[in-house]
Amino acid sequence: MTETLLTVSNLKKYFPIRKGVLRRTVGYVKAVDDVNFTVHKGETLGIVGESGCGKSTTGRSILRLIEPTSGDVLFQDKNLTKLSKSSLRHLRQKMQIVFQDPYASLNPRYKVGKILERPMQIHGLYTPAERSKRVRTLLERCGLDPSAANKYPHEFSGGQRQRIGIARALTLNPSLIVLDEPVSALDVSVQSQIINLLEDLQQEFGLTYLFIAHDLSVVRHISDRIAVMYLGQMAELAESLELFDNPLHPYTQALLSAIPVPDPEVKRERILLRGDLPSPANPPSGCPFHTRCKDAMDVCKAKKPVWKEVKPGHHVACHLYS
Amino acid sequence: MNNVALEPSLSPGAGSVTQTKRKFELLKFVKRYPSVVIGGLIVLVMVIIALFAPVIAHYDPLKPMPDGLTQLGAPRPPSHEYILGTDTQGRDVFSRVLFGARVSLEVGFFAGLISLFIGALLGVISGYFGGWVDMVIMRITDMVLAFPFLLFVVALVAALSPSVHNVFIAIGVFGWAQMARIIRSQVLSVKELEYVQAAKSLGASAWNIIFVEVLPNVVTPVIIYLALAIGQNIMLEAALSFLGFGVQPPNPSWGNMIQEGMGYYQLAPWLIYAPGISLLVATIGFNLLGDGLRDWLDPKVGK
Amino acid sequence: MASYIIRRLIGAVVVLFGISIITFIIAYAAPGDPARLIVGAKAPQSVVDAVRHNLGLDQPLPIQYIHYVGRLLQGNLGFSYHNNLPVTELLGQRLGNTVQLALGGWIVELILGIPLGIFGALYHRRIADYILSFLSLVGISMPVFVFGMWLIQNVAHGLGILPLGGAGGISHLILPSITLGVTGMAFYQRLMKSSMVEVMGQDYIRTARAFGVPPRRVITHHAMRNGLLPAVTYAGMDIAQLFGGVVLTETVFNYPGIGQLAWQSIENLDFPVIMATVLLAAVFVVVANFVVDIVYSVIDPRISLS
Ligand SMILES: Nc1ncnc2c1ncn2[C@@H]1O[C@H](COP(=O)(O)OP(=O)(O)OP(=O)(O)O)[C@@H](O)[C@H]1O
Ligand code: SF4
Ligand SMILES: [Mg+2]
Repeated sequence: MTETLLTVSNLKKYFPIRKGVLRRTVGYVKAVDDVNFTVHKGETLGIVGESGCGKSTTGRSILRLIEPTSGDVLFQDKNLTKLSKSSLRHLRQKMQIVFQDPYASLNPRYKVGKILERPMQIHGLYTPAERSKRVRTLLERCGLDPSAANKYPHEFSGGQRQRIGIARALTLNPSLIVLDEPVSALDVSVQSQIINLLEDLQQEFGLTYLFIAHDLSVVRHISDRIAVMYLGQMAELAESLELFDNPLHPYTQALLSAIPVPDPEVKRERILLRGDLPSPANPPSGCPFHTRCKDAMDVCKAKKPVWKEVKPGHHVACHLYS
Repeated sequence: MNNVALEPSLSPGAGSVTQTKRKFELLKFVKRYPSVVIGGLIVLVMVIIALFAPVIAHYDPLKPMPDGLTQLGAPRPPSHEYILGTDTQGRDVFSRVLFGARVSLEVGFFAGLISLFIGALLGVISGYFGGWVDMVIMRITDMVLAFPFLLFVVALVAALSPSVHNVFIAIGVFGWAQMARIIRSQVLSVKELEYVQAAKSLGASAWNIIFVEVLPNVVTPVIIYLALAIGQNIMLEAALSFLGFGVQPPNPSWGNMIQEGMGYYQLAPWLIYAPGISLLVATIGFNLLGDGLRDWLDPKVGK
Repeated sequence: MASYIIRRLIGAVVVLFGISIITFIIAYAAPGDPARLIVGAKAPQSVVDAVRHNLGLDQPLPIQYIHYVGRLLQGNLGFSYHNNLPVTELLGQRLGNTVQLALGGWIVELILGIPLGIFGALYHRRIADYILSFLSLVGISMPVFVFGMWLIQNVAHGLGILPLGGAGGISHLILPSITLGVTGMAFYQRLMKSSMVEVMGQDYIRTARAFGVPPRRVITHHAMRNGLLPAVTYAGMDIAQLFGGVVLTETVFNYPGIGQLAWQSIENLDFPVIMATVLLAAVFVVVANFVVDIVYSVIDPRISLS
């Protein structure tokens, strides 16, 4: 479990805000601002944070679906940010993504079979007969009838479409899959089915997941480790159990207190988040969380807390622990 | 699209029921989108006329008939022999109108294709790649839209020397801007969709994505616009020929027929009415078809 | 706001530059040697060469273009050898006529298009609406010169009440303006109708109705004001359309304006005049669009200027 598959260092993605006659850049939305973490081979790393905190941007910058502003992404010892377009296209076989919206992520004009064969065609893998056989096997493996290959996406429900999206990600035998809120758009009952499927597939194919969610309860069971993001920055990262039992960052504590507790014996005080989420175009000085933090101190306004490992495997960025 | 609604039921042994049902659906379609049907019929008739002009016409459109003029040398009015009368040189107007349909369609269609090709290429590049490429292309498009279109086309045809080919080249070369805009906006909306991102993450190249994922979604507005553009082009060709820069006599075009008949509007009004009404009906046909297709295929534009 | 105006201004200048380049290239590519045209077919080659040199036609293309633009900026549009007059003078004689005609046509477009559009919106999806829509389709599809000829034959000649053509006073403007207006009004009608239908479906109009504001007032006060906006925007683009119509209308009615001049000069391959008329038309279009954009952004606060 300790072999590293992916190392993200100092990743930044700034979206320019343009104004004026010459469309000059007057500022930036710092969607991802200096993020560092590693993902071990075969594990599931959960990334959690409120809407707009930069989770999708992180996921997509890692895969270079959008070009990161700066930073390095080491995947299987190759620096993705420095790779040429063609070698990157080749390497894409090994890293895939599943999107949040099962309706928008499948082209409505093609039959499912064609959608699933396309990745193999692009990379010139297998013969046509092998491809269609593989499509059927994968559909079946993802809990769908092989005849689904002859239907169009609109003939399926959201959960079924998400299974198709997962099957598509598997066609190229990837080692890493970024799951960008794969269950957020689904009914709760369907959510757990999809999560179970993902867990089975991980076992079977030895996959590594980067599982993005906006809700801690979703990633709780599937994740080995969990990272908490706030306004484009990392707040805390620890093993799941550790994070739930011993949250260090005040933001994590607030998020945890919002999760309903199944055991009525355990009383937990709900920590309400004060104020609104600040705009990532104009983030607060110092610690980005200080405008809403119950423990904020003077230093929090002035200085940005450093990201450091306070216990083995437990990282946090907060002045309370420096 | 709506062909789902037009599909007959699948229950076996219900042949006659399916048939009546199909008839019923067709009727419903005719009632709902009459412009598609009427416009489509007009266009169809025009295409047939253009294709079979030599078969339908009884006379040579270029040759003066031996009895084509009255004793006084005037054109003959419509009669049993010459359905639409004869012109000032004693040629059969009906035959000339039929062959004029050929020229109109040829110019309308090929000019439309040229515009489509240029517009699609620029619109796709502009929309998909964005950035400064987009900015440059869009400024050029604005510029072309600000051109006094007719004058430019006339000037270009005059410079190239008038002929059918040069007419459709000139119309096509200046007519792509609207097409480029439509396609660009379509590409812009498609490109952000997750399935395009998915294709990218699967390692597809930019042009592969454009051809496989983006372009199929552009087909509908292109068809709608092409129908409208052909109607416009037919009108332009007529205007050019009317001004003397299009099809050159003695070859017939509706525009130059009207021009030739202009001096005789009292004596022989059919010289103007025959090509004029043909032109009007043809343009109405293409406009109806285009508007109707928009109502039918493009749900975004409300009715 | 200032930055928006400056950006639009720069855009307008760039467009005009592009148009000047294209007209220049077209003129250059045209068959025939302008020097030969000036001195006549019989003049010896040495004379032709001298004229070419005098006109600067023996210099490289980019230099010629720069000289051309330089002259343009000084207000010198060249010399029409065909008419033996400076181009500015030729244009000056006719500009007034064309402006009158274009204005006349525009007024007819508005007088017909806007009320018919409102009517169509009020009777939306009723028989009157369908009839109006069909009429507007006929209007859009009607070639300018066919309709013009029809008017000449049936009104000017048939009824014998208005002049057959030429210029001079209001009576000469009526038929050409109607020709332009009828063939161009459909755009306003459609625009007015669709925006009125949209506005009338909106909540505040419904609210106004529910509060008992009489229907006529709802229409005049609320729906029309908002429906007019798109019609105003269209006016800018319409100038280009109108100018195409003007060339044909002036030809049919033998009306001495810029359009007729453009046509004649193209027929005579009188390129200084062709280039000048095309440029003039383009200036009209660009300026009109610019003004409309600014006016529009002032009327409608919803348009963000950045
Ligand atoms: N293409 C873009 N241009 C400008 N800003 C963008 C762009 N994409 C994202 N942003 C901004 O970057 C920030 C982070 O967006 P991101 O989509 O990564 O958030 P997220 O955490 O995935 O949110 P959600 O839970 O809603 O998916 C947001 O403020 C967003 O507005
Ligand atoms: S650094 Fe300060 S403001 Fe930020 S989370 Fe820690 S205590 Fe709160
Ligand atoms: Mg997201």
